[in-house]
Amino acid sequence: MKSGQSLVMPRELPAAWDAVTAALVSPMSTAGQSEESLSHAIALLCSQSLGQCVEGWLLETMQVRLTSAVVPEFWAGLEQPENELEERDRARILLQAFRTLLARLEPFLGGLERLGAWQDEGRGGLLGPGTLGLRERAFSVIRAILLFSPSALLQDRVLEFYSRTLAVHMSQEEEGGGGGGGGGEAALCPGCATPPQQCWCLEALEELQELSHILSRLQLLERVSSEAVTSILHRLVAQRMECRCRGEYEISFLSDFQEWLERVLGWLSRVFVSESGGLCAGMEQGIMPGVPGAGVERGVMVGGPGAGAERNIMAGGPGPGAGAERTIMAGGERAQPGGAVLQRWRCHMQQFFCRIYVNMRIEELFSIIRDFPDSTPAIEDLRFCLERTNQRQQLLTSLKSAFETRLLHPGVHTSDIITVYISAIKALRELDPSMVILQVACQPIRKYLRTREDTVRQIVASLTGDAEGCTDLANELSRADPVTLETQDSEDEGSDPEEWTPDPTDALTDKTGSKRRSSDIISLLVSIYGSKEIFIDEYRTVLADRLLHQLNYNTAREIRNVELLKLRFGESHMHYCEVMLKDVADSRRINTNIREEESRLPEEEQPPLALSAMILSSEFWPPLKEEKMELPPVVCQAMEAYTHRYEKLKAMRTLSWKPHLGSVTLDIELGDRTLTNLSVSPIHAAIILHFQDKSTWSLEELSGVLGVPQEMVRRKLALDEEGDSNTTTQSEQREEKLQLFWAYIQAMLTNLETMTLERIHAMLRMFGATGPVLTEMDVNELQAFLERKPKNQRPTRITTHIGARLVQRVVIYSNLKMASQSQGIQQLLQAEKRAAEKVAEARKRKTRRLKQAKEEAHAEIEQHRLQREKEFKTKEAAALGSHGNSAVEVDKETVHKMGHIQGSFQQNPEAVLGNLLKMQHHPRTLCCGFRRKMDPHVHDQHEHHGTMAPATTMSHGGDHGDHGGSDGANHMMQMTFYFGCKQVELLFAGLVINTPGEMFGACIGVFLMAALYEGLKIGREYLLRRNQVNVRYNSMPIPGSDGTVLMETHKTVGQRMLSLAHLLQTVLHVIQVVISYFLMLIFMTYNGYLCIAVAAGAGVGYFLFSWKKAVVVDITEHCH
Amino acid sequence: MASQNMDPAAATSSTALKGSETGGSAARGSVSKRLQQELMTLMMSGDKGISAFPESDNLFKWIGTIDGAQGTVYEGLRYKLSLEFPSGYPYKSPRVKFITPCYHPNVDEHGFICLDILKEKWSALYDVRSILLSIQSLLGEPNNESPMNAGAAELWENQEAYKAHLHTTYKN
Repeated sequence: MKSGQSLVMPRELPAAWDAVTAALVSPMSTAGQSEESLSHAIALLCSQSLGQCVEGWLLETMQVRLTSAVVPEFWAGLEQPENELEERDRARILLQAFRTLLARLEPFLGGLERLGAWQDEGRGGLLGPGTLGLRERAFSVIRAILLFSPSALLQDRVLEFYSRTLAVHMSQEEEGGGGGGGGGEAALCPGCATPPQQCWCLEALEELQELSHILSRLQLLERVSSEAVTSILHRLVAQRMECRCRGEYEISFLSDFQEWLERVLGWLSRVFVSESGGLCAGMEQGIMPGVPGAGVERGVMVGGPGAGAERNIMAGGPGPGAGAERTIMAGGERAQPGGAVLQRWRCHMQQFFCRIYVNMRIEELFSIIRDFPDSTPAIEDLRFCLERTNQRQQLLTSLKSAFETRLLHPGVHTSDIITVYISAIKALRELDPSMVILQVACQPIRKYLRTREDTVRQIVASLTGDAEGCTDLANELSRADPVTLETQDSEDEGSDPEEWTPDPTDALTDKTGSKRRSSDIISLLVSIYGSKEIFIDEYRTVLADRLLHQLNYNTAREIRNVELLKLRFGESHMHYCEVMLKDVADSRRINTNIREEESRLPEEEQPPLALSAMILSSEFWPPLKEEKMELPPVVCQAMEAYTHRYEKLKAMRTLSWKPHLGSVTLDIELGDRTLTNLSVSPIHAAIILHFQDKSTWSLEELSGVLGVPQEMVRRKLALDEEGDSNTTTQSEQREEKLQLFWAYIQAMLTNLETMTLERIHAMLRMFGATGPVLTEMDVNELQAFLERKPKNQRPTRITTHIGARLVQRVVIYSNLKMASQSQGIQQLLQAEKRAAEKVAEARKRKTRRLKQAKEEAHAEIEQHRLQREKEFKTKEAAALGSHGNSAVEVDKETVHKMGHIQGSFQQNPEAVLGNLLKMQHHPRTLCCGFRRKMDPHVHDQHEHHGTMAPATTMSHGGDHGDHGGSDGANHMMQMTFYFGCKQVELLFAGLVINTPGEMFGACIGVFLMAALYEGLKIGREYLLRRNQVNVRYNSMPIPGSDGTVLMETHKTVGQRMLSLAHLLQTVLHVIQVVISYFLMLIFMTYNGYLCIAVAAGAGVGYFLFSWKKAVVVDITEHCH
Repeated sequence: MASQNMDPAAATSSTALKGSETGGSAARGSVSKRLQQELMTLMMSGDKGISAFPESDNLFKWIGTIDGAQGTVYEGLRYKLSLEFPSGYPYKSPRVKFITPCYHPNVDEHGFICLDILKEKWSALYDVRSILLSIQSLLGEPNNESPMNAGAAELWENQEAYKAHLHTTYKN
């Protein structure tokens, strides 16, 4: 059909084809041709159904051209210059290559445009996918062919070029924004890093513009640049983060980052501007570089306020982060209408920033928490970012491990741990209002605090504001609107169901939500121990201490504290403390009363010293320290008088004085000066008073007068102020109990010798139960306690070297504690390091010690063993005497004889064999004799030298073995049946069967013996019967039941002892017994042949002899 | 005299004071309590040279230790004793004997002790501590009037020889 038509119009068709193709590929050359003729030609082609072919031809041509010429030219152009070229030139070459590429492809692109336009118009009936479709297909072809195998060079070049332009852009922004940059001019240009005179910043920007345009024309922008841009931006963000944010917690970086991001987006808009702007504004106009640049500037200007707004919100407080985000987004949209690409980049950048920011902050979280109130901005940033990334789990793990490695080790003082814990509570409360992070991450801290002894004391001290530098808790306590510890558990019920939010997935499931959400610091601290009683007790102790220390009845502060604590812990728990305070107030009143009473007395009855007492209700105060001392008589009198008055005032009550508590105000007149208003402790006062009477006192005398142990007096004289506390603290009480336990343990060990730890523990539990109960003490604690005891105090053998080791550990620990006490938390790291060193050192020392102890023990054991051995030897020599020698002699003799026998055996085997058989039992009997003699002695040794016993028996066994060897026979008794005719001993030592013939003979003998035995038995019976000649039968008639008479026969046997027959029977009996034993013994050889012979003999004998018995047995038979 | 010591249980049963026959588990409980209390007192007293502790889980059988008092021939020697408390304790005296062989005028070769407060003069007011202290003082001041070990009683006059003999026979 086609050919037919071409035949019809052969001349016009090629001309039309040429016209159309020429118009498409090189529009310039066909400019002269009119549109009309072109339209005509197209119509002609279409009428011949060649319209589709035009499109195919164009794409085909372009593809061929690309593969053959354009693409190789592009790569060659890119690679042509060597690497020595300057960056600037490299950029130029890159641009040049793309320019050439564009120039080469320009005709085709133009043709495509035209064809597309024609198709859109449908000129001359031309059909096709239209402009957009054509472009799509063409650019796919270009991308495919050009970037089929992109070299790394292109990427490098592009990356380099973009980084440079970004730098240039940023520096320009800075100049524009900062209005200066004077510092940069002196040195290199901040943008292009070249001397100012060679600066090519502007050029670079222009080149960027052009490159972007070309790329966007060719629709290569996305492919070529996005990777480079991404990596540049990521690198930049990370860099910026590293140098600006690390270690800085006091500034929020979010807004800073937003500003920076806007600037970077300005550059991005230059890169991607042609794509966004070009698409909207049309092809040709976009080429002008100035216009989109201005757009970018505008965008930044608009974006600025947006970022500012965001900052405001952040500064304003915990505003919802999403709101801030919205603001940023809105700002972005306003700045870049239609900038979908930019928008995408912005989101990407924000996400990326959040991720690496969170990563960095997670690493630093411990430090952030440590600096908490100052690091609030960092926490807020972190919270903002954490909401956008899924890194909670990572945060938790990292924080936990940070706590464990940096905080929770023996080198850190308890108060520091508590401080960090409090900051952690505060910081994590900010970070995560659901408190899940707090709960999970602080688990290790709480667990660890529980193991510290002084935790309660520290917490109580800081609660009452006593602890130096730690006022957090005191402030917290006095905060308005405290959470009562009782009611917090039920708070969930009252809360609004609308406000309920599900727990984050990482929440611990074992706790109830309400507990977790309690963010109150005090309740969290108190709940470390799970019970507030401990704290209240401790507080009571502290309070008592304070009240007794001041003695000035000024309780305003304490009352306030107690009231505040009451709000927390509840009225009932603070009852004791209230009573204590009331005691103080009462004492004051009573004192005034008594004082008044005294003042009314006449002058001469006025007491010599003004005594004021603190009257405590003993039930309510914690146990007070017991110390005995004799007060000077003056004071005693005053006290008595006071008691007297008190008893009058309060009937039914009396006072029991605690003279060692309290304080005395003294004026001392010395030779040269007078000291007034000295406040000293009673014991000091007493000592001073005693010096009034006598100027020289010996320590013994003083201690006698005071009724105080010398040691105590010496300590007091040295003005040792360590005994600060008036009440016995809990640990002291515990220590006392432990001392009692020590007495128990000592007694146990003295009386019961060595014991295992478990046994000691069990005993303590059993017998110490009624005393001060320490049931909570477990084995480990006991071990620790025992090991605290210095080595020399331990009476017996509880593995002493362990003790030494542990004592050392304790010492090290206390050193550390002292060290870190004086230092702040800032130096934790150093302390950590030092602690590690010390621990390592201690460990080394410990192993050394252990080794030493082991060696010592070994040496000792060895020595002991040697000594014992020696003792044994001497004893043996004494006891054994000639026996020992005889054994040796026997040995010698045997060996000698063996040699002799061996020699003659060689010469005359048969004769020797006979000899040997005779000789054989000689050494053995000797040996047995020796053994018998040895045995009692050995036994004796056994008793006295348990350890030596094995050696003795061993050597003896050796002896025995030797003899056995010399016998050449095994004396092992066979204990199972066996068949064999070698070395079978038959009853007598000389009777040894060695050959089958001998065995046969023996069997016959045995057979006969067995048969004889049976015969003997029957014979004896027969004899017996025969001898009973005087058997009498008496028959008696018995009336039967049916009237007949039955005869019953009775026999009586005459029994005489001294008769010949009986003697014969006796002899025969002896023979029978002997034979029966022989048979038994033969059977006991376990030799099968012999046993069979025995059995057969017995059988045959019975067969032969016992047939008679059947008749004999039934004596009465023939009587009937 | 010797026969009296051979069977201390029979001897003490005649000296039971009162309420000894109550028996039963309730009484045993109260005896345990008393023994616990005594143990506690003993631990708290901190006397030098005497000590005692229940041998095993059984509170009624104790092991005691006595160090020879200073200034006597027994100085430096340590003796172990066993104390068995009857269920009628403290109304019945405990059975006390030396485990460590003790060469002493009032102690026989089986370790039985002839001491009046363990026999006819026993009182419920005595306790383990007083028993141990009494035995400790008995070591230094034997009653040679009624010796169980006549040889020792004779040798006592010669302290040097006694000491020498004592130390050669002492076995721990």
